[in-house]
Amino acid sequence: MKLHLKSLSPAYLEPTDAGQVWNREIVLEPGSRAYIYAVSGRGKTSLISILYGILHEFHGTAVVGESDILSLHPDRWRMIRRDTISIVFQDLKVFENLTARENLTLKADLTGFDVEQAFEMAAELGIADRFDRRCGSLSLGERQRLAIVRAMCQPFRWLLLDEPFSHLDEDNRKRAFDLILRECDKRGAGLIMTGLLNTGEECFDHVLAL
Amino acid sequence: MFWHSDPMGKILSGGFRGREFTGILIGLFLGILLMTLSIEFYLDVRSLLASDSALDRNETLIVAGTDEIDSGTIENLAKLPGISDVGVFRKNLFELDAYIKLGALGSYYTEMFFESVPDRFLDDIGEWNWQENSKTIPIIIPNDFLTMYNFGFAPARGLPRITAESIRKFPIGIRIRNDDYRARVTGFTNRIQSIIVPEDFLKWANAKYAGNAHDDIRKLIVKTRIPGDPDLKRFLQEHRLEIVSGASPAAKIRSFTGLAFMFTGILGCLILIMALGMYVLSILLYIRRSEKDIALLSLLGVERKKVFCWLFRRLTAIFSLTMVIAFLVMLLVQHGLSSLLAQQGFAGTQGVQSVTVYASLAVWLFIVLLNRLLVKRQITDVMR
Repeated sequence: MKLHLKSLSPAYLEPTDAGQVWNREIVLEPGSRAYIYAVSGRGKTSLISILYGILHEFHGTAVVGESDILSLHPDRWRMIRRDTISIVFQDLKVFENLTARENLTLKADLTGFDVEQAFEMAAELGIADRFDRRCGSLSLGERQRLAIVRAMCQPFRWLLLDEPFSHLDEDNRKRAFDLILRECDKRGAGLIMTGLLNTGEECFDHVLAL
Repeated sequence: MFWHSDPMGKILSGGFRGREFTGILIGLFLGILLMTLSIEFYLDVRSLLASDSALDRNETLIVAGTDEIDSGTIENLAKLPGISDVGVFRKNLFELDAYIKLGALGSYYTEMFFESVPDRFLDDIGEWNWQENSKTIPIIIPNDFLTMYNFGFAPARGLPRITAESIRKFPIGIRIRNDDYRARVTGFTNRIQSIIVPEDFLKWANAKYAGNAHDDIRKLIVKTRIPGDPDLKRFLQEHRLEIVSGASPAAKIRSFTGLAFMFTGILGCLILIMALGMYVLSILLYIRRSEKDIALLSLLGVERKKVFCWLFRRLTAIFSLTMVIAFLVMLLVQHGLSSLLAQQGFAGTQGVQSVTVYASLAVWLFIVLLNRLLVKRQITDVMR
């Protein structure tokens, strides 16, 4: 399932505003990996939100597979979010009143994912000893790792990561990235990741300045 | 647990405020209890009063004026919506005396009068047939006559008391001109304070002894379906007529209890409506409090139907339980009242009236549908 962006730009940007993504034609083939970087305010989160069907105010068109994003019914979007596109939000969006364990169980129940495997991934990222604490009391870094594990708990063809390591140290960033790449490979899934700087990662097929 | 057995339940019950809901459920409970109880009591009392043979669904009034009432007025009166029947009082147009011979105690003579009303207005009329030229005249006297005699006249004169049964066998002589007749008491009435003879007899006697003199009608007997009918009151005022007797105590009791239970029922309905209003508001608040989390569930791909079913089932279960408790309490109260009435010698009704069951089911169904509509709308709105 490929992603096709045609002259796309969020409504708040001038239509003439152009980097390597906005107002260009971009085709991302299935299984490809794209890293999109920009300073704050250029619309990294807007791009991810458009591709996840949350932001509808934009110019141009975005096509997922054969479907125009705007033509998909909310019920269809909910289905896509269970089995086709997974995400790590910039603001994480974990349920703060639930424990880490409950956050993962909820997602695994929803997508039919093996919950033990979810717990193993959490342990791999070093948050196993925080399992029964309310997420509201976890540090941002712990919550970010939880959000990453949660994003893995489902089948997907595309994984959207919006500044996924912003609260992680180098060591944790590496472990998390390894897990992400491994899980994407398992599924043959594509990856779109945003960040502030061009880190020069070699594993990406496209590195684009927004 | 019923309320949050899984993570999703924990999220969806996050906006629930037990204290707020308890108050509303108490309101619902009281509203339903008052409504069902008033229906139940109203029907019970109605059937209790109806089972007394002396009472009629209609109220019988006696209406009189100082002037003659013409046939046009009578016809117009009969046409009033609340009036089910109108009859005229006829009176004797000849002089008559009544006498009782008490053997050694002597004889008592008194001037007397007769009146008649159409037979259909009389209850407890016994053998009311009168054959032309028969010397025996059936009469009906007011219950009060017997009371007055037994507790006033008889003690004063040292006479024995008489029972309703013995007076039926009492020889009362009637003398019209020089003809002697025998009056036989066949019944008693509470409705008509007069001495009533068969209408056929009075017509015949008026023709024979008064040469068909003109009988000016001044008194009517009226059956009305509406106690205290305002149309009737207005009509009587316009035609300078007044109610001289009527409104049997039972009819008054019936209309009073009817009003009392109607008032209770209306109060119950008002409480129910207010509680329902609060219920609607609290559901709106409840869902709005969890709005952020429900929207996040949508972002993770949770189906609308799943969230809807979770909320709808639990809310339905909670108020259904409230209704069942209200209904059980109503049954207990009704049972208690029935036993109390049975102790007092009234034949109380057995079990619950079907109207109460239907009314409760209707309210239940209404709240289920209201719940469904509310939750569905809110969820659709939050999970766009």
